[in-house]
Amino acid sequence: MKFTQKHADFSVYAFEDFLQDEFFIRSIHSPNEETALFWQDFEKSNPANIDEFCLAKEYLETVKAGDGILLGDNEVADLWNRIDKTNHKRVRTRNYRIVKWSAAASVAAILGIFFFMNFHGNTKRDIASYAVHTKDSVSDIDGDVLLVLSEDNIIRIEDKEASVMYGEHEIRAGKETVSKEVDDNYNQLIVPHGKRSVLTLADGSRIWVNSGTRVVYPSRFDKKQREVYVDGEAYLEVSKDPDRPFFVKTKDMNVRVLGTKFNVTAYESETFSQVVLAEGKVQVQSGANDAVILKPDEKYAVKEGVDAVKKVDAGKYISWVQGFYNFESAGFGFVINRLSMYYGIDIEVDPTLEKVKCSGKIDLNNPLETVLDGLDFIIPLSYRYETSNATYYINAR
Amino acid sequence: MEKNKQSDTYLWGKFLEGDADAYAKIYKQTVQDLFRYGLLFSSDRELVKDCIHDVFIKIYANRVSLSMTDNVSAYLNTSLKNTIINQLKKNRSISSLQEMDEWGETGDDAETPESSYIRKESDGQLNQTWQSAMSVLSLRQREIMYYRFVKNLSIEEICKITNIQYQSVANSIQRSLIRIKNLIKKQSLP
Repeated sequence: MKFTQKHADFSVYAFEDFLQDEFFIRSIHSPNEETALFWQDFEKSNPANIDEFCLAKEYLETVKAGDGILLGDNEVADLWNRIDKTNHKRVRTRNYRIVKWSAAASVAAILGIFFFMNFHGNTKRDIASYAVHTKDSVSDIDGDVLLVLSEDNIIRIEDKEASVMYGEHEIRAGKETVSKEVDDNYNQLIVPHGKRSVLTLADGSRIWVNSGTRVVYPSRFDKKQREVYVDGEAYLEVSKDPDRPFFVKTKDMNVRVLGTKFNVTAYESETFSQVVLAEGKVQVQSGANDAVILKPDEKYAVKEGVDAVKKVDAGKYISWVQGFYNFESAGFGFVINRLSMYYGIDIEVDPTLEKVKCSGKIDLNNPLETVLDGLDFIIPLSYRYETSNATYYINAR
Repeated sequence: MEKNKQSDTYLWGKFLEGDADAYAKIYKQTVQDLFRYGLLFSSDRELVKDCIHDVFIKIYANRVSLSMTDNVSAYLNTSLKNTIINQLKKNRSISSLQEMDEWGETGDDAETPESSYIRKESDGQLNQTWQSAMSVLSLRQREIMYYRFVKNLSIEEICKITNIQYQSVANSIQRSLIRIKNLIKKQSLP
Protein backbone atom coordinates (compact mmCIF):
# COMPACT_ATOMS: atom_id res chain seq x y z
CA MET A 1 0.00 0.00 0.00
CA LYS A 2 2.71 2.31 0.99
CA PHE A 3 4.46 1.85 -2.33
CA THR A 4 1.37 2.24 -4.47
CA GLN A 5 0.60 5.53 -2.88
CA LYS A 6 4.12 6.74 -3.11
CA HIS A 7 4.51 5.72 -6.75
CA ALA A 8 1.03 6.34 -8.08
CA ASP A 9 2.46 8.00 -11.16
CA PHE A 10 4.50 5.04 -12.53
CA SER A 11 2.09 4.73 -15.44
CA VAL A 12 3.39 7.97 -16.91
CA TYR A 13 7.06 7.10 -16.42
CA ALA A 14 9.42 6.93 -19.37
CA PHE A 15 12.53 4.70 -19.65
CA GLU A 16 14.75 7.34 -18.11
CA ASP A 17 12.28 8.08 -15.31
CA PHE A 18 12.21 4.47 -14.18
CA LEU A 19 15.99 4.35 -14.16
CA GLN A 20 16.13 7.39 -11.93
CA ASP A 21 13.69 5.98 -9.45
CA GLU A 22 15.19 4.50 -6.29
CA PHE A 23 12.39 2.02 -5.75
CA PHE A 24 12.59 0.70 -9.31
CA ILE A 25 16.38 0.30 -9.17
CA ARG A 26 16.20 -1.37 -5.80
CA SER A 27 13.57 -3.76 -7.13
CA ILE A 28 15.94 -4.99 -9.81
CA HIS A 29 19.16 -4.99 -7.81
CA SER A 30 17.74 -6.65 -4.71
CA PRO A 31 14.25 -7.89 -5.44
CA ASN A 32 12.02 -9.28 -2.71
CA GLU A 33 8.49 -10.62 -2.51
CA GLU A 34 7.04 -7.19 -1.99
CA THR A 35 8.72 -5.59 -4.98
CA ALA A 36 7.99 -8.60 -7.20
CA LEU A 37 4.27 -8.39 -6.33
CA PHE A 38 4.19 -4.65 -6.84
CA TRP A 39 5.60 -4.84 -10.38
CA GLN A 40 3.44 -7.82 -11.23
CA ASP A 41 0.40 -5.75 -10.35
CA PHE A 42 1.81 -2.88 -12.32
CA GLU A 43 2.20 -4.99 -15.45
CA LYS A 44 -1.28 -6.48 -15.04
CA SER A 45 -2.81 -3.02 -14.94
CA ASN A 46 -1.93 -2.66 -18.65
CA PRO A 47 -0.21 0.71 -18.42
CA ALA A 48 0.31 2.65 -21.64
CA ASN A 49 4.04 2.86 -20.91
CA ILE A 50 4.59 -0.91 -20.63
CA ASP A 51 7.24 -0.76 -23.39
CA GLU A 52 9.23 1.86 -21.54
CA PHE A 53 8.99 -0.19 -18.38
CA CYS A 54 10.19 -3.40 -20.05
CA LEU A 55 13.04 -1.61 -21.75
CA ALA A 56 14.21 -0.07 -18.49
CA LYS A 57 13.97 -3.40 -16.70
CA GLU A 58 15.85 -5.23 -19.42
CA TYR A 59 18.50 -2.56 -19.55
CA LEU A 60 19.14 -2.63 -15.84
CA GLU A 61 19.24 -6.41 -15.74
CA THR A 62 21.72 -6.53 -18.62
CA VAL A 63 23.92 -3.99 -16.95
CA LYS A 64 23.75 -5.79 -13.65
CA ALA A 65 24.76 -9.13 -15.18
CA GLY A 66 27.54 -7.66 -17.30
CA ASP A 67 26.41 -10.00 -20.05
CA GLY A 68 28.98 -10.75 -22.67
CA ILE A 69 31.57 -8.30 -21.48
CA LEU A 70 33.23 -9.95 -18.53
CA LEU A 71 36.47 -11.86 -18.94
CA GLY A 72 36.20 -15.58 -19.58
CA ASP A 73 37.91 -17.96 -17.15
CA ASN A 74 40.64 -18.58 -19.71
CA GLU A 75 41.23 -14.89 -20.13
CA VAL A 76 41.51 -14.42 -16.37
CA ALA A 77 44.01 -17.29 -16.22
CA ASP A 78 46.02 -16.16 -19.24
CA LEU A 79 46.27 -12.63 -17.98
CA TRP A 80 47.47 -13.86 -14.59
CA ASN A 81 50.08 -16.03 -16.25
CA ARG A 82 51.35 -13.02 -18.16
CA ILE A 83 51.53 -10.94 -15.00
CA ASP A 84 53.27 -13.69 -13.07
CA LYS A 85 55.74 -14.30 -15.85
CA THR A 86 56.59 -10.62 -16.21
CA ASN A 87 57.12 -10.27 -12.47
CA HIS A 88 59.46 -13.19 -12.40
CA LYS A 89 61.44 -11.97 -15.33
CA ARG A 90 61.56 -8.50 -13.80
CA VAL A 91 61.33 -7.09 -17.27
CA ARG A 92 59.14 -4.11 -17.79
CA THR A 93 58.02 -3.80 -21.35
CA ARG A 94 56.65 -0.50 -22.46
CA ASN A 95 55.89 -1.72 -25.91
CA TYR A 96 52.37 -3.04 -25.61
CA ARG A 97 50.89 -5.63 -27.93
CA ILE A 98 53.73 -7.18 -29.84
CA VAL A 99 56.22 -8.10 -27.17
CA LYS A 100 53.73 -9.24 -24.64
CA TRP A 101 51.51 -11.19 -26.92
CA SER A 102 54.14 -13.41 -28.36
CA ALA A 103 55.30 -14.24 -24.86
CA ALA A 104 51.81 -14.52 -23.53
CA ALA A 105 50.64 -16.93 -26.16
CA SER A 106 53.30 -19.48 -25.42
CA VAL A 107 53.20 -19.07 -21.68
CA ALA A 108 49.46 -19.32 -21.61
CA ALA A 109 49.55 -22.54 -23.56
CA ILE A 110 52.04 -24.13 -21.23
CA LEU A 111 50.86 -22.83 -17.92
CA GLY A 112 47.13 -22.85 -18.45
CA ILE A 113 46.50 -26.15 -16.78
CA PHE A 114 48.81 -25.61 -13.84
CA PHE A 115 47.47 -22.18 -13.28
CA PHE A 116 44.04 -23.54 -12.69
CA MET A 117 45.28 -26.18 -10.35
CA ASN A 118 46.98 -23.57 -8.22
CA PHE A 119 44.55 -20.79 -8.63
CA HIS A 120 41.26 -22.47 -8.07
CA GLY A 121 42.06 -24.13 -4.85
CA ASN A 122 44.34 -21.91 -2.90
CA THR A 123 44.92 -25.04 -0.97
CA LYS A 124 45.91 -27.77 -3.36
CA ARG A 125 43.38 -30.34 -4.37
CA ASP A 126 43.04 -33.20 -1.92
CA ILE A 127 45.33 -36.06 -2.93
CA ALA A 128 42.67 -38.77 -2.63
CA SER A 129 40.17 -36.94 -4.79
CA TYR A 130 42.92 -36.19 -7.31
CA ALA A 131 43.84 -39.88 -7.37
CA VAL A 132 40.25 -40.93 -7.92
CA HIS A 133 39.74 -38.41 -10.70
CA THR A 134 42.86 -39.39 -12.58
CA LYS A 135 42.34 -43.11 -12.11
CA ASP A 136 41.66 -43.95 -15.73
CA SER A 137 43.42 -41.04 -17.35
CA VAL A 138 46.45 -43.20 -18.12
CA SER A 139 45.24 -46.45 -19.52
CA ASP A 140 48.38 -48.19 -20.70
CA ILE A 141 48.37 -50.38 -17.62
CA ASP A 142 49.67 -53.56 -19.22
CA GLY A 143 52.79 -52.16 -20.77
CA ASP A 144 55.67 -50.34 -19.17
CA VAL A 145 56.08 -48.55 -15.89
CA LEU A 146 54.85 -44.98 -16.36
CA LEU A 147 56.02 -41.93 -14.48
CA VAL A 148 53.39 -39.24 -14.95
CA LEU A 149 54.83 -35.79 -14.24
CA SER A 150 51.95 -33.94 -15.85
CA GLU A 151 49.25 -34.57 -18.39
CA ASP A 152 51.65 -34.21 -21.25
CA ASN A 153 54.87 -35.23 -19.63
CA ILE A 154 54.80 -38.98 -19.19
CA ILE A 155 57.99 -41.01 -18.96
CA ARG A 156 57.98 -44.65 -19.97
CA ILE A 157 60.42 -46.94 -18.17
CA GLU A 158 61.04 -50.27 -19.83
CA ASP A 159 62.97 -51.93 -16.98
CA LYS A 160 61.27 -54.82 -15.20
CA GLU A 161 62.43 -53.45 -11.86
CA ALA A 162 62.33 -49.72 -12.46
CA SER A 163 64.03 -47.26 -10.17
CA VAL A 164 62.76 -43.72 -9.86
CA MET A 165 64.60 -41.21 -7.75
CA TYR A 166 63.64 -37.64 -6.89
CA GLY A 167 66.62 -35.37 -6.36
CA GLU A 168 66.74 -31.72 -5.44
CA HIS A 169 66.29 -30.46 -8.97
CA GLU A 170 65.99 -33.52 -11.16
CA ILE A 171 64.34 -36.89 -11.37
CA ARG A 172 66.18 -40.05 -12.37
CA ALA A 173 63.78 -42.46 -14.01
CA GLY A 174 65.47 -45.64 -15.20
CA LYS A 175 68.20 -44.46 -17.55
CA GLU A 176 66.68 -41.04 -18.07
CA THR A 177 67.18 -37.84 -16.10
CA VAL A 178 64.61 -35.09 -16.30
CA SER A 179 64.46 -31.77 -14.53
CA LYS A 180 61.73 -31.25 -11.97
CA GLU A 181 58.70 -29.23 -12.94
CA VAL A 182 58.47 -25.99 -11.05
CA ASP A 183 54.76 -26.24 -10.47
CA ASP A 184 53.31 -27.89 -7.42
CA ASN A 185 51.26 -30.67 -8.82
CA TYR A 186 50.83 -34.36 -8.27
CA ASN A 187 53.02 -36.95 -9.92
CA GLN A 188 52.10 -40.58 -10.38
CA LEU A 189 54.02 -43.80 -10.71
CA ILE A 190 52.02 -46.47 -12.44
CA VAL A 191 53.42 -50.00 -12.21
CA PRO A 192 51.63 -52.54 -14.41
CA HIS A 193 51.31 -56.25 -13.85
CA GLY A 194 54.60 -58.04 -14.23
CA LYS A 195 56.67 -55.02 -13.13
CA ARG A 196 57.97 -53.55 -9.89
CA SER A 197 59.51 -50.22 -8.99
CA VAL A 198 61.44 -48.55 -6.26
CA LEU A 199 60.55 -44.93 -5.78
CA THR A 200 62.85 -42.69 -3.77
CA LEU A 201 61.26 -39.40 -2.80
CA ALA A 202 63.08 -36.12 -2.26
CA ASP A 203 62.84 -36.49 1.54
CA GLY A 204 64.73 -39.79 1.34
CA SER A 205 61.70 -42.00 1.95
CA ARG A 206 61.61 -45.11 -0.23
CA ILE A 207 58.59 -46.87 -1.60
CA TRP A 208 58.77 -50.36 -3.13
CA VAL A 209 55.85 -50.49 -5.50
CA ASN A 210 54.42 -53.89 -6.32
CA SER A 211 52.76 -55.04 -9.54
CA GLY A 212 49.49 -53.46 -10.61
CA THR A 213 49.92 -50.49 -8.31
CA ARG A 214 49.59 -46.77 -8.70
CA VAL A 215 51.22 -44.29 -6.33
CA VAL A 216 50.26 -40.61 -6.34
CA TYR A 217 52.41 -38.03 -4.57
CA PRO A 218 53.11 -34.31 -4.80
CA SER A 219 56.08 -33.27 -6.93
CA ARG A 220 57.32 -31.58 -3.78
CA PHE A 221 56.09 -32.17 -0.25
CA ASP A 222 54.78 -29.11 1.47
CA LYS A 223 56.13 -27.67 4.68
CA LYS A 224 53.55 -29.14 7.03
CA GLN A 225 53.08 -32.71 5.93
CA ARG A 226 54.01 -35.45 3.50
CA GLU A 227 51.22 -37.30 1.76
CA VAL A 228 51.06 -40.16 -0.75
CA TYR A 229 48.17 -42.15 -2.15
CA VAL A 230 48.46 -45.87 -2.85
CA ASP A 231 46.17 -47.98 -5.01
CA GLY A 232 47.68 -51.46 -4.82
CA GLU A 233 50.56 -52.73 -2.74
CA ALA A 234 53.61 -50.91 -1.49
CA TYR A 235 56.27 -51.33 1.15
CA LEU A 236 57.44 -48.06 2.63
CA GLU A 237 60.50 -46.99 4.54
CA VAL A 238 59.70 -43.49 5.68
CA SER A 239 62.51 -41.21 6.73
CA LYS A 240 62.08 -39.45 10.05
CA ASP A 241 60.98 -35.84 10.05
CA PRO A 242 59.12 -34.89 13.25
CA ASP A 243 57.98 -31.58 11.75
CA ARG A 244 56.35 -33.19 8.75
CA PRO A 245 54.26 -36.27 9.50
CA PHE A 246 53.88 -38.73 6.65
CA PHE A 247 50.44 -39.93 5.57
CA VAL A 248 49.57 -42.82 3.32
CA LYS A 249 46.06 -42.64 1.97
CA THR A 250 44.24 -45.48 0.28
CA LYS A 251 40.70 -46.09 -0.90
CA ASP A 252 39.58 -46.71 2.68
CA MET A 253 42.47 -46.08 5.07
CA ASN A 254 44.46 -43.17 6.31
CA VAL A 255 47.82 -44.25 7.76
CA ARG A 256 49.71 -41.74 9.82
CA VAL A 257 53.35 -42.68 9.88
CA LEU A 258 55.63 -41.85 12.72
CA GLY A 259 58.98 -42.76 11.04
CA THR A 260 59.00 -46.39 10.12
CA LYS A 261 58.86 -49.44 7.81
CA PHE A 262 55.57 -50.99 6.80
CA ASN A 263 53.59 -52.61 4.04
CA VAL A 264 50.29 -51.35 2.64
CA THR A 265 47.92 -53.47 0.57
CA ALA A 266 44.89 -51.66 -0.76
CA TYR A 267 43.91 -52.49 -4.30
CA GLU A 268 40.89 -50.48 -5.34
CA SER A 269 39.69 -53.59 -7.16
CA GLU A 270 39.68 -55.67 -3.96
CA THR A 271 37.35 -55.47 -0.96
CA PHE A 272 39.97 -55.71 1.76
CA SER A 273 42.90 -53.51 2.75
CA GLN A 274 45.69 -54.05 5.20
CA VAL A 275 48.71 -52.50 6.82
CA VAL A 276 51.54 -54.58 8.26
CA LEU A 277 54.10 -52.86 10.43
CA ALA A 278 57.72 -54.01 10.40
CA GLU A 279 59.37 -51.32 12.44
CA GLY A 280 58.43 -48.10 14.29
CA LYS A 281 54.89 -46.88 14.74
CA VAL A 282 51.90 -46.09 12.55
CA GLN A 283 48.39 -44.90 13.24
CA VAL A 284 45.66 -46.26 10.99
CA GLN A 285 42.17 -44.96 10.59
CA SER A 286 39.48 -46.29 8.33
CA GLY A 287 35.90 -45.27 7.72
CA ALA A 288 33.98 -44.74 10.96
CA ASN A 289 36.39 -46.84 13.02
CA ASP A 290 38.55 -45.37 15.75
CA ALA A 291 42.19 -44.74 14.93
CA VAL A 292 44.46 -47.63 15.91
CA ILE A 293 48.16 -47.48 16.70
CA LEU A 294 50.06 -50.50 15.43
CA LYS A 295 53.08 -52.10 17.04
CA PRO A 296 55.72 -53.96 15.00
CA ASP A 297 54.55 -57.34 13.73
CA GLU A 298 50.94 -56.33 13.86
CA LYS A 299 48.54 -56.37 10.96
CA TYR A 300 45.61 -54.02 10.61
CA ALA A 301 43.00 -55.28 8.19
CA VAL A 302 39.71 -53.79 7.10
CA LYS A 303 37.04 -55.44 5.03
CA GLU A 304 33.70 -53.84 4.20
CA GLY A 305 34.14 -51.29 6.96
CA VAL A 306 35.01 -53.75 9.74
CA ASP A 307 38.57 -53.57 11.04
CA ALA A 308 40.73 -55.91 13.10
CA VAL A 309 44.29 -56.06 14.42
CA LYS A 310 46.24 -59.32 14.44
CA LYS A 311 49.72 -60.42 15.46
CA VAL A 312 51.71 -61.60 12.41
CA ASP A 313 55.23 -62.18 11.14
CA ALA A 314 55.72 -58.95 9.25
CA GLY A 315 58.66 -60.33 7.29
CA LYS A 316 56.30 -62.61 5.40
CA TYR A 317 54.28 -59.68 4.14
CA ILE A 318 57.30 -57.72 3.03
CA SER A 319 59.26 -60.51 1.41
CA TRP A 320 58.04 -59.58 -2.10
CA VAL A 321 60.47 -56.69 -1.92
CA GLN A 322 63.30 -59.23 -1.86
CA GLY A 323 61.72 -61.29 -4.60
CA PHE A 324 59.67 -63.96 -2.87
CA TYR A 325 56.17 -64.39 -1.57
CA ASN A 326 55.53 -65.95 1.78
CA PHE A 327 51.99 -67.12 2.26
CA GLU A 328 50.48 -68.42 5.44
CA SER A 329 47.17 -70.26 5.15
CA ALA A 330 46.19 -68.09 2.25
CA GLY A 331 43.45 -69.09 -0.15
CA PHE A 332 44.84 -70.64 -3.32
CA GLY A 333 42.78 -68.21 -5.38
CA PHE A 334 44.49 -65.31 -3.61
CA VAL A 335 47.94 -66.80 -4.15
CA ILE A 336 47.28 -67.23 -7.86
CA ASN A 337 45.90 -63.71 -8.09
CA ARG A 338 49.14 -62.33 -6.61
CA LEU A 339 51.26 -64.43 -8.94
CA SER A 340 49.19 -63.32 -11.91
CA MET A 341 49.78 -59.67 -11.02
CA TYR A 342 53.43 -60.15 -10.24
CA TYR A 343 54.21 -61.94 -13.48
CA GLY A 344 51.74 -59.95 -15.52
CA ILE A 345 50.19 -63.11 -16.93
CA ASP A 346 46.53 -64.11 -16.82
CA ILE A 347 45.83 -67.24 -14.80
CA GLU A 348 42.42 -68.90 -14.46
CA VAL A 349 41.79 -71.18 -11.51
CA ASP A 350 39.24 -73.96 -11.21
CA PRO A 351 36.68 -72.65 -8.65
CA THR A 352 36.94 -75.82 -6.62
CA LEU A 353 40.57 -74.94 -5.84
CA GLU A 354 40.07 -71.30 -4.96
CA LYS A 355 39.30 -71.74 -1.29
CA VAL A 356 42.01 -74.34 -0.60
CA LYS A 357 44.38 -72.99 2.05
CA CYS A 358 48.08 -73.10 1.46
CA SER A 359 51.27 -71.91 3.12
CA GLY A 360 54.79 -71.64 1.83
CA LYS A 361 57.48 -69.59 0.18
CA ILE A 362 57.59 -68.83 -3.54
CA ASP A 363 60.76 -67.62 -5.20
CA LEU A 364 59.67 -64.94 -7.62
CA ASN A 365 62.94 -64.97 -9.50
CA ASN A 366 61.90 -68.27 -11.07
CA PRO A 367 59.82 -68.35 -14.23
CA LEU A 368 56.09 -68.77 -13.64
CA GLU A 369 56.06 -72.38 -14.86
CA THR A 370 58.70 -73.37 -12.30
CA VAL A 371 56.55 -71.77 -9.63
CA LEU A 372 53.46 -73.64 -10.82
CA ASP A 373 55.41 -76.91 -10.90
CA GLY A 374 56.39 -76.22 -7.30
CA LEU A 375 52.79 -75.59 -6.28
CA ASP A 376 51.92 -78.95 -7.76
CA PHE A 377 53.73 -80.52 -4.81
CA ILE A 378 51.36 -78.91 -2.30
CA ILE A 379 48.10 -78.96 -4.18
CA PRO A 380 47.09 -81.64 -6.64
CA LEU A 381 46.77 -79.57 -9.80
CA SER A 382 47.44 -79.59 -13.47
CA TYR A 383 47.91 -76.59 -15.71
CA ARG A 384 47.97 -75.83 -19.39
CA TYR A 385 48.86 -72.74 -21.34
CA GLU A 386 46.46 -71.46 -23.96
CA THR A 387 48.41 -69.48 -26.55
CA SER A 388 45.32 -67.99 -28.22
CA ASN A 389 44.55 -65.80 -25.20
CA ALA A 390 47.91 -66.06 -23.38
CA THR A 391 46.30 -67.55 -20.29
CA TYR A 392 47.24 -70.36 -17.91
CA TYR A 393 44.41 -72.64 -16.82
CA ILE A 394 44.76 -74.48 -13.52
CA ASN A 395 42.54 -77.46 -12.77
CA ALA A 396 42.23 -79.96 -9.96
CA ARG A 397 43.98 -83.20 -10.68
CA MET B 1 34.24 -18.66 -3.18
CA GLU B 2 32.47 -15.41 -2.52
CA LYS B 3 31.79 -16.24 1.07
CA ASN B 4 35.34 -16.54 2.27
CA LYS B 5 36.44 -13.60 0.22
CA GLN B 6 38.89 -11.64 2.32
CA SER B 7 38.63 -7.90 2.40
CA ASP B 8 40.66 -6.07 -0.21
CA THR B 9 42.20 -3.87 2.46
CA TYR B 10 43.39 -6.84 4.51
CA LEU B 11 44.91 -8.45 1.41
CA TRP B 12 46.53 -5.18 0.41
CA GLY B 13 48.26 -5.07 3.80
CA LYS B 14 49.49 -8.64 3.41
CA PHE B 15 50.65 -7.86 -0.10
CA LEU B 16 52.68 -4.86 1.09
CA GLU B 17 54.33 -7.18 3.62
CA GLY B 18 55.45 -9.32 0.70
CA ASP B 19 52.80 -12.04 0.69
CA ALA B 20 52.66 -13.44 -2.86
CA ASP B 21 49.38 -15.25 -2.19
CA ALA B 22 47.73 -11.99 -1.21
CA TYR B 23 48.89 -10.47 -4.49
CA ALA B 24 47.31 -13.34 -6.43
CA LYS B 25 44.10 -13.03 -4.42
CA ILE B 26 43.89 -9.29 -5.04
CA TYR B 27 44.13 -10.02 -8.74
CA LYS B 28 41.51 -12.71 -8.55
CA GLN B 29 39.07 -10.57 -6.57
CA THR B 30 39.41 -7.39 -8.55
CA VAL B 31 40.14 -8.36 -12.13
CA GLN B 32 36.55 -8.57 -13.39
CA ASP B 33 35.60 -5.24 -11.85
CA LEU B 34 38.75 -3.65 -13.16
CA PHE B 35 38.16 -5.02 -16.61
CA ARG B 36 34.65 -3.72 -16.68
CA TYR B 37 35.79 -0.34 -15.47
CA GLY B 38 38.56 -0.28 -18.06
CA LEU B 39 36.05 -0.91 -20.83
CA LEU B 40 34.58 2.50 -20.04
CA PHE B 41 37.64 4.09 -21.57
CA SER B 42 38.32 1.77 -24.44
CA SER B 43 36.21 -0.86 -26.10
CA ASP B 44 39.38 -2.69 -27.07
CA ARG B 45 39.38 -5.71 -24.75
CA GLU B 46 42.98 -6.59 -25.47
CA LEU B 47 44.17 -3.10 -24.74
CA VAL B 48 42.30 -3.11 -21.43
CA LYS B 49 43.86 -6.45 -20.55
CA ASP B 50 47.31 -5.14 -21.43
CA CYS B 51 46.73 -2.18 -19.17
CA ILE B 52 45.53 -4.38 -16.28
CA HIS B 53 48.74 -6.34 -16.77
CA ASP B 54 50.74 -3.13 -16.47
CA VAL B 55 48.89 -1.96 -13.37
CA PHE B 56 49.67 -5.24 -11.61
CA ILE B 57 53.29 -5.16 -12.71
CA LYS B 58 53.58 -1.60 -11.46
CA ILE B 59 52.17 -2.29 -8.01
CA TYR B 60 54.34 -5.39 -7.71
CA ALA B 61 57.47 -3.49 -8.63
CA ASN B 62 56.62 -0.64 -6.25
CA ARG B 63 55.18 -2.67 -3.40
CA VAL B 64 57.87 -1.48 -1.00
CA SER B 65 57.01 2.15 -1.51
CA LEU B 66 53.23 1.81 -1.73
CA SER B 67 51.14 2.84 1.23
CA MET B 68 48.07 1.42 2.91
CA THR B 69 44.77 2.36 1.38
CA ASP B 70 41.27 1.72 2.60
CA ASN B 71 39.91 1.68 -0.91
CA VAL B 72 41.93 -0.75 -2.98
CA SER B 73 39.51 -0.90 -5.85
CA ALA B 74 39.41 2.89 -6.20
CA TYR B 75 43.20 2.92 -6.20
CA LEU B 76 43.40 0.25 -8.86
CA ASN B 77 40.64 1.89 -10.92
CA THR B 78 42.48 5.19 -10.98
CA SER B 79 45.75 3.53 -11.95
CA LEU B 80 44.01 1.62 -14.70
CA LYS B 81 42.24 4.68 -16.02
CA ASN B 82 45.51 6.63 -16.20
CA THR B 83 47.29 3.73 -17.85
CA ILE B 84 44.59 3.36 -20.48
CA ILE B 85 44.39 7.07 -21.21
CA ASN B 86 48.16 7.31 -21.53
CA GLN B 87 48.10 4.38 -23.86
CA LEU B 88 45.32 5.84 -25.98
CA LYS B 89 47.22 9.11 -26.18
CA LYS B 90 50.21 7.26 -27.53
CA ASN B 91 48.19 5.33 -30.06
CA ARG B 92 46.04 8.12 -31.33
CA SER B 93 46.40 11.30 -33.28
CA ILE B 94 46.16 14.64 -31.52
CA SER B 95 42.81 15.47 -33.06
CA SER B 96 41.03 12.43 -31.64
CA LEU B 97 42.61 13.17 -28.30
CA GLN B 98 40.92 16.52 -28.12
CA GLU B 99 37.59 14.83 -28.64
CA MET B 100 38.35 12.54 -25.76
CA ASP B 101 38.82 15.35 -23.29
CA GLU B 102 36.63 13.73 -20.72
CA TRP B 103 36.15 16.52 -18.22
CA GLY B 104 35.92 19.39 -20.71
CA GLU B 105 32.91 21.68 -20.80
CA THR B 106 31.54 20.07 -23.91
CA GLY B 107 32.51 16.57 -22.83
CA ASP B 108 28.98 15.59 -22.11
CA ASP B 109 27.87 15.96 -25.67
CA ALA B 110 31.02 15.05 -27.55
CA GLU B 111 30.96 11.77 -29.34
CA THR B 112 34.13 9.74 -28.99
CA PRO B 113 35.84 8.23 -32.00
CA GLU B 114 35.01 4.77 -30.76
CA SER B 115 31.39 5.54 -30.25
CA SER B 116 30.88 6.55 -33.85
CA TYR B 117 32.84 3.50 -34.93
CA ILE B 118 30.88 1.06 -32.85
CA ARG B 119 27.64 2.63 -33.89
CA LYS B 120 28.46 2.10 -37.52
CA GLU B 121 29.54 -1.44 -36.85
CA SER B 122 26.42 -2.43 -34.99
CA ASP B 123 24.01 -0.67 -37.33
CA GLY B 124 21.09 -2.83 -38.26
CA GLN B 125 21.55 -5.41 -35.56
CA LEU B 126 19.99 -5.39 -32.17
CA ASN B 127 22.81 -5.22 -29.72
CA GLN B 128 21.70 -4.08 -26.35
CA THR B 129 24.73 -4.90 -24.34
CA TRP B 130 26.02 -2.45 -21.85
CA GLN B 131 29.06 -2.09 -24.04
CA SER B 132 27.29 -0.78 -27.09
CA ALA B 133 24.91 1.31 -25.04
CA MET B 134 27.94 2.91 -23.40
CA SER B 135 29.45 3.78 -26.74
CA VAL B 136 27.08 6.68 -27.30
CA LEU B 137 28.21 8.36 -24.10
CA SER B 138 31.12 10.61 -23.31
CA LEU B 139 33.81 9.24 -21.03
CA ARG B 140 32.48 11.29 -18.17
CA GLN B 141 28.96 10.01 -18.67
CA ARG B 142 30.19 6.44 -18.91
CA GLU B 143 31.95 6.66 -15.61
CA ILE B 144 28.97 8.13 -13.85
CA MET B 145 26.66 5.51 -15.36
CA TYR B 146 29.09 2.81 -14.27
CA TYR B 147 29.03 3.98 -10.67
CA ARG B 148 25.28 4.44 -10.70
CA PHE B 149 24.12 1.23 -12.34
CA VAL B 150 26.99 -1.26 -12.13
CA LYS B 151 28.32 -0.34 -8.71
CA ASN B 152 24.88 0.77 -7.54
CA LEU B 153 26.19 3.88 -5.82
CA SER B 154 23.98 6.78 -4.80
CA ILE B 155 24.34 10.17 -6.44
CA GLU B 156 25.92 11.51 -3.25
CA GLU B 157 28.57 8.81 -3.32
CA ILE B 158 29.29 9.48 -6.98
CA CYS B 159 29.75 13.18 -6.19
CA LYS B 160 32.40 12.28 -3.64
CA ILE B 161 34.32 9.97 -5.95
CA THR B 162 34.23 12.18 -9.02
CA ASN B 163 34.31 15.58 -7.32
CA ILE B 164 31.34 16.70 -9.34
CA GLN B 165 28.33 18.57 -7.97
CA TYR B 166 25.09 16.79 -7.23
CA GLN B 167 23.07 18.56 -9.91
CA SER B 168 25.69 17.87 -12.58
CA VAL B 169 25.73 14.16 -11.77
CA ALA B 170 21.94 14.01 -11.82
CA ASN B 171 21.79 15.86 -15.13
CA SER B 172 24.45 13.65 -16.60
CA ILE B 173 22.48 10.52 -15.71
CA GLN B 174 19.30 11.97 -17.18
CA ARG B 175 21.02 12.86 -20.46
CA SER B 176 22.82 9.53 -20.65
CA LEU B 177 19.62 7.58 -20.20
CA ILE B 178 17.88 9.49 -22.98
CA ARG B 179 20.80 8.83 -25.30
CA ILE B 180 20.78 5.15 -24.50
CA LYS B 181 17.03 4.96 -24.99
CA ASN B 182 17.35 6.58 -28.40
CA LEU B 183 20.08 4.17 -29.36
CA ILE B 184 18.14 1.11 -28.27
CA LYS B 185 14.97 2.29 -29.99
CA LYS B 186 16.86 3.05 -33.18
CA GLN B 187 18.42 -0.40 -33.11
CA SER B 188 15.10 -2.09 -32.47
CA LEU B 189 13.60 -0.70 -35.69
CA PRO B 190 13.29 -3.24 -38.46
